[in-house]
Amino acid sequence: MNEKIFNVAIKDHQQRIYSLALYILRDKTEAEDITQDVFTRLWKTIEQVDMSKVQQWLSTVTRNACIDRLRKRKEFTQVEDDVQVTIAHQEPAGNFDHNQLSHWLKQAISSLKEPYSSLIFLCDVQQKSQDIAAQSLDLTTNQVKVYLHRARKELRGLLEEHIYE
Amino acid sequence: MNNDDHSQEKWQTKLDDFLAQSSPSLDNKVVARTYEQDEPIGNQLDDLQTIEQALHIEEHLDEIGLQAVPEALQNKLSQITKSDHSSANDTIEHKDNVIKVNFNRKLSIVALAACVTMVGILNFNWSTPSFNNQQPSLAEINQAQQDLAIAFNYLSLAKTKSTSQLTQTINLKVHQPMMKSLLKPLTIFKES
Repeated sequence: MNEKIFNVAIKDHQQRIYSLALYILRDKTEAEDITQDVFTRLWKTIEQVDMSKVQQWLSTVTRNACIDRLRKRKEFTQVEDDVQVTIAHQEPAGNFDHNQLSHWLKQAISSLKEPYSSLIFLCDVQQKSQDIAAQSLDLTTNQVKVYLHRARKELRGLLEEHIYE
Repeated sequence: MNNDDHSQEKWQTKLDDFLAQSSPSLDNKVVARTYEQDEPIGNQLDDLQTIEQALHIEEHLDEIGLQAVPEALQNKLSQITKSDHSSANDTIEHKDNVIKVNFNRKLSIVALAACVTMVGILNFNWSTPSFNNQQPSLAEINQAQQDLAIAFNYLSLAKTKSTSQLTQTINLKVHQPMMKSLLKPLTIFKES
């Protein structure tokens, strides 16, 4: 039964997933690898995935896998750097729906405590510089950097919670 | 080859045109910032733009257009469930073989240990207080226990040592001493 469902998912979504990987990576071989990895992952976790939202699941997993692959490319070309290579970010798999994103983001940003909410709004939504944000909120630039980092981390946590619902 | 190159250029051109005419939405920019790593590799701006662009492409994939899946990839995808079945079967078969081999080895060692244990028991029966006029039973029990412990220690090494090595070792450490002590009462009998 799972096999049948899985094969239908391949038939319905393979072109989309391959295209997404190809456009992000701009490399045919890597796009094929990613596509195969993503569908293998789906097969292994098929009982946990909500198949009514499998397209979103596949897209999110593919996008994140491609971003990780691009980061690894940079690691390979920057071997001279002393910068410590970080572990790939956590993969938010699930129902990441672009259509609902605006509405959800507004709510999520509003739910953050101050000054996090204002910082996200000023720096990320309005694209103001950190200096201007510091002046607006009567903070130092260093405080803005630290708080902004925390705010984005919290927002990411909310995003992942939303995706796993 | 030329057609492939040409078609590859075609999709790249289409993608570049799309990206040139549109930029990531504000929502995607905000989300991209939440995904940005704490300590980015090299240029932070590059990382952010990569994520923004990926989100943007994902959102407008239908607008850009889809590419045909290569036949080789289609075949690989169709094999995913089959390779999972066969690897599961291989695992079971491999496990079966490993179990059989281990069982055969262990069987011979267990049989050997059982013989040694029997010899020990016989030895114990011979060394009764009427012959030795002491209470050897506790000492001999302790000795037998130690000998058995040695035997079982060697059993636990069955995976790494060969059967012949084990046989030799058990012979040397357990069997021969037991045989010696077994022969003692017989010698006593003979002498008397």
